[in-house]
Amino acid sequence: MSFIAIDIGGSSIKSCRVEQNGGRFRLASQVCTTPLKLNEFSEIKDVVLGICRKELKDGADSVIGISTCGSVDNAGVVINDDHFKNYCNISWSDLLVREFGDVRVCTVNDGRASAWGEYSVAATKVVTHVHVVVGTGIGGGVIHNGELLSGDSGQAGYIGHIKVAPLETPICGCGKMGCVESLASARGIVAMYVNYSGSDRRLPVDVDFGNLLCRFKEDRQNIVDALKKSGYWLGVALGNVMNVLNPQLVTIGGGVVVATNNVVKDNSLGENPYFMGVNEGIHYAAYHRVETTGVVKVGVLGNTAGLLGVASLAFSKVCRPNLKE
Amino acid sequence: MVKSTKISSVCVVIVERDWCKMYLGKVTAQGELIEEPVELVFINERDWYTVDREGVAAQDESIVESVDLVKWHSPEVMNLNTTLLFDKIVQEINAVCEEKNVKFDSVVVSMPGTMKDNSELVTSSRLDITSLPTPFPVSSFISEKLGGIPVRIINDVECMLLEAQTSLIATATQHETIYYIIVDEGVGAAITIDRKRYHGAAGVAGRISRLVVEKRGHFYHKFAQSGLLEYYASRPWISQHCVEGYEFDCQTQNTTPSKTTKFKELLQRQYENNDQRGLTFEELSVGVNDKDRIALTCFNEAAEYLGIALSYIITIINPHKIFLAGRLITDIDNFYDDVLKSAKKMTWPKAWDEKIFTKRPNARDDQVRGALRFAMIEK
Repeated sequence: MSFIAIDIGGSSIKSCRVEQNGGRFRLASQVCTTPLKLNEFSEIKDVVLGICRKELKDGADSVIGISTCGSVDNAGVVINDDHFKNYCNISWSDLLVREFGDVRVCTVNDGRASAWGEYSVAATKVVTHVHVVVGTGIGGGVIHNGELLSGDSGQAGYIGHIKVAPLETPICGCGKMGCVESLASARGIVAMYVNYSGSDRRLPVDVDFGNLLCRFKEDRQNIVDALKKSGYWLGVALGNVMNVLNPQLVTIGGGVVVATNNVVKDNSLGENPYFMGVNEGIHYAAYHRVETTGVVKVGVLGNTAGLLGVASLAFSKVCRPNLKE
Repeated sequence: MVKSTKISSVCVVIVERDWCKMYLGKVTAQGELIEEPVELVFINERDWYTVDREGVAAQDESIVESVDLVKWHSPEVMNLNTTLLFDKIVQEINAVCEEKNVKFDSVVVSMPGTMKDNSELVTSSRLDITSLPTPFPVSSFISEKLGGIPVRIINDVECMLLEAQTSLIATATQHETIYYIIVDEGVGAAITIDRKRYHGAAGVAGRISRLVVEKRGHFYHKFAQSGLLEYYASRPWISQHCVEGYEFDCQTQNTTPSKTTKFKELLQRQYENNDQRGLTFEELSVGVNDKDRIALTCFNEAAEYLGIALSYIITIINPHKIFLAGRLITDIDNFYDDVLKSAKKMTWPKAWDEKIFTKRPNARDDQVRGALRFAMIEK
């Protein structure tokens, strides 16, 4: 059986076909990445419809898994997203059924989808597994006893909105100050870099995370400092997550992780400065026994965790709804 | 299925830092209380000290002098002599059985700390039992000395949670994830996830007293961390901050501030006695009712930091219900409302729902009743 898996991120949409065979999920086609430019829902909609149209025409089964940024309620409706204009109260299921007729759609928050993806491939299944995704924003999910924790209003695990420095940060997309997302995401790292480089004239006006890393050789020290400091704030947030949940395993994934690891490799750095910061932050915030009993490591699926996770969830929720995830 | 009609007599022992209480409760096999628990013994602070000094003296004369100076619950004494605490409990249970002519079917010891399998004590920083080489086998230790009666131990806040959870079941409301927080002499908490008690990898999940809420905060030697919630939102520390505020006023004004209110008199008393953490709940309440600037500042700070901690919990696990209990919550005017206001201010709006909060009026009643239920329903 093959699924259409779509991952709507803050700066691009990734898609591919995922196959399920004997309970295992694997990417069955190359991941296609479509950059987003307008920050508007209409653009997302056009891209998603285009992907589905093509895949259905090419013979994919009519099950579509959508992993998306923004808050998603327990019924799979995107309540809102702070990043894209008009992306609120959107039911992808209603929209795609209207467009394509007999399709089955499962919509999940991207942090949760990635968490499920990482949990699914983990060699050892632990009781409590926390996964955090660092990309344009910061998301995450908590798996407890083999199930995604959803919480009262379906908002458990939105780690990006943990307050780590309430008085010192720009206002987050959620309208509050001090969210770890505004300090440790790709956007947060760029802001941190601008802060470190001060009135540096070499800084392009439209600096973003991608071209920031391209400048690594030119401005190594400021970039390393920014990565360390941003990582530190993520570590503080994770330390407090660990204090609350005392999990056995914490994994970190997402675009920032992949990109910074590439920079480390390309520049023969001994250690990823972002993770040095993360470890320092965890050490600062986590209670000693919590820190020593929880393993923190990089996720194994890189940028594909959301795609595999949402395909697996679609299989459980849409194809076998009575089956426990 | 036919329900067992057997009624058991359960002895509940509530162990605190400075006192201990014992109760008798009658419980059905299904964990239903058939009458209100009866308090049998209250051992006050003074008796705790005396007995342990005697106990230590019996074992090691050389420790006695230091015990007189540093009180019985210094870590050195407690880690070496944890048995003393439980010996004293055995002694009291035997005495009460004889005096009141009662017989127990089982014993539950409810105390602060981390337990393993509800039978061994791993650590209890509140009781200053912090570095036991191996977990202390409380259940078998007491059970053997009581002729084989089943004995189990449970964390104090878990008992409170168990009782609060039972009250929800009675209303037939579905609450899968529940958090119980007590804000009192310290800050304690317990969680259920999927309606089961949740302990985490090291048995310390949910301990929000250790949440870092102020990155530039005071370094707390006991836990080797800075900016912990307990430093801002527990009675001893709020008392200390109030007395420090008074001390600061004295120094900056270069004279003793004029005693215009009862609370100022209390602050001056604590300052002169060099007992910064000694203001009671009632005395702190006087400061709030007097609208004393120092008291209000300290309580505002406590509410703000407790709000931050609640925002963490809501963001991370988005619980279906949060119970807030303890004397700071119930006895200090407006504190509960201020905590909720602060939590709302700090929490991601999508996850905020004020309806999940419930104030529990008497945490200690919850503890006793929860311990009785635990004796039967979670065997």
